[in-house]
Amino acid sequence: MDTFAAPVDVWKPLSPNYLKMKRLMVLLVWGIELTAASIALGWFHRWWAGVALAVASVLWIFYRWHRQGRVYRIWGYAERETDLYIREGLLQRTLTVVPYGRMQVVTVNSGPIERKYGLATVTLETASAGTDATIPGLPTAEADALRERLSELGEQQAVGL
Amino acid sequence: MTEPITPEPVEAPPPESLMERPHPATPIIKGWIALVGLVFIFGRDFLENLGKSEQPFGWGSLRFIGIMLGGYVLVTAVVGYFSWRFTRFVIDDRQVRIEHNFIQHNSDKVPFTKIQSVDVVQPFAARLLGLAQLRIDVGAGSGKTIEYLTRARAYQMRDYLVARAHGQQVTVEESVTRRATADALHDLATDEHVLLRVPVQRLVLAAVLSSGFLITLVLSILTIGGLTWFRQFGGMVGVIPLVTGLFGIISRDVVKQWNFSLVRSGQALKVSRGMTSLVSQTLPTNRIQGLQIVQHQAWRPFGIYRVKMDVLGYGGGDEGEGASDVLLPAGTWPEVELAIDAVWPGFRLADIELHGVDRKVRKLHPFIWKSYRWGRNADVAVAMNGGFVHETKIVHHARVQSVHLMAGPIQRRMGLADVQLDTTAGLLSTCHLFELDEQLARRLVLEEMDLCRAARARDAERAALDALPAPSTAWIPRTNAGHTPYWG
Repeated sequence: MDTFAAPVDVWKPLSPNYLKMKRLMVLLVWGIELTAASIALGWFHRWWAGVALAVASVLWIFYRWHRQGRVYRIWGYAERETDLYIREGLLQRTLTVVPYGRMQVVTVNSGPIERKYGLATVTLETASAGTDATIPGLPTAEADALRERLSELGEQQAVGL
Repeated sequence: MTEPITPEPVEAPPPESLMERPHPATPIIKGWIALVGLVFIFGRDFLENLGKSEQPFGWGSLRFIGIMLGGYVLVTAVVGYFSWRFTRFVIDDRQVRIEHNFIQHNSDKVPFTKIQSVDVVQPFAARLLGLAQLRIDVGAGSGKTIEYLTRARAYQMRDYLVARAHGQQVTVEESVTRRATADALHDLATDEHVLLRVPVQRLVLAAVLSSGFLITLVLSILTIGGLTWFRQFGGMVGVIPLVTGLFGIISRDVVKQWNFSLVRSGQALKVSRGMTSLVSQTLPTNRIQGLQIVQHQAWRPFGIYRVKMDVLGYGGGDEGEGASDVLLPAGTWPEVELAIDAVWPGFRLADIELHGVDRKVRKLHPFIWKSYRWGRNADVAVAMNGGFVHETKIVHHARVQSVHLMAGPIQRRMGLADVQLDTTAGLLSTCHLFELDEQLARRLVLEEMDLCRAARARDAERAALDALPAPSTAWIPRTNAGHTPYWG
């Protein structure tokens, strides 16, 4: 049995738009930087050095593009009666379990690019600094619904410190 | 227009609480402490710059320093007088309120239920005059301080606040009359008894053998030896920070822990310690999130251990004066067991079966793989790891905030995983069970939630018992000098 399998059924995935957004970010961030670097290298140094860097850049960007898919497939969350489960991380893999009763604050956050893709990030805060539970890239409606559910369950099951 | 004006329904104002002022000697003590601090900082700076300054040291600069210090003391005294003049506080049956109305107007009200611990601190100057600071720790920020009160008054208020913080409904008079002080100087009431005292020799031994001290000492000796060898005596100034570091460790581990004693006081535990400043710290046993037993490598032949605790709100700013997270600075193993039993009555570390890790971990951690151990029962999780410092962490399931199962790429290939238990942010705040078999780790993580729930339920029952008024509850079966067993 897979160590990081879901506790029940399957992991709920993030929105496919999240993958699209992350891939666009790869193209934009790496693309602009590496294009500028290639041109600069070809112009001021040797033309073939610029071409070599450009080829390497294309490979690198393709790798990052491909990797986003694998990262995306690892992300997942699951709700059970009393706890929330989150799986993340391609290399350093982590399964976080947070009891609803321990949640102090549940935040929904959405930046300009996320809003463009109709996405929002749900963050759970407990009284512990080590609990960094974040679910990025949920569709806005789902994020709001999740927040409502979590807050309600959190209030029902609240426990003192 | 002719409608009778109905007066606003005015609530009868609560009877005005009697506001008190701190002791009039407060500004003098504050000024004195500021002066000592300044001299200390200047002195250290002066020593460290001794070799660097180009000008020879003359009387002119001494006069300058004298004028500076005099001016500083004058300003502190004047500011201190006014801030004393405008400080008032009230601690009565309804509230704790502290008001500072100098320049900034500020009124702090502390709810009884939010009080985490109350410490009575006596800096050296205050001790000479028989005065003390009352520090109320609320688990957030730096806590509230009332300075200075007479020693007896500070102890009375401390006892009252601690009783209220434990949820007992007592009035100030009841609290004051109930306590018959047997020995005011050592803050020991008739219903208290000393669990253990730490001899000074052992404190010194532990400080000298701690890893930090040994490393600094070796560095100092190497530096001095090297400089002497190459005849570079001017560079000796570089040794001063190292020596200051050594004194820092001695100050922290010996001077501040001088005469350390752990006292059982009804439901609470008290620590008193200190050579120059005397600190009497109340330990809120129900707020202790976890314990850590530390043993430095060089302590092993002598069988010395240190016990630290994770308390909500500790580990922040001022660790020197008030709240400290040390439960036992240097103790033998029986004393460690005694201290743990005082915090969690009935719990014995020896009762928990400890498991090692798989032999394949040897490849990842060739030197310390044998030191990784873990154990668990219905109440706690225990994790051990080694190296220069052997650590044992004990976390109560009822205090766990969240659980993580973690594995890096190499661990996944080898079928290993770590388990991390988080408690509230504090000094120890995480407990790692390292390098477990991955299926075992997964099982532990998934089961942990049920254990936590069960432990919390038992904890709530216990808290409900504790909240009953303490003296007249003979019908509740109690063990351990009026303390309900934690591990019911």
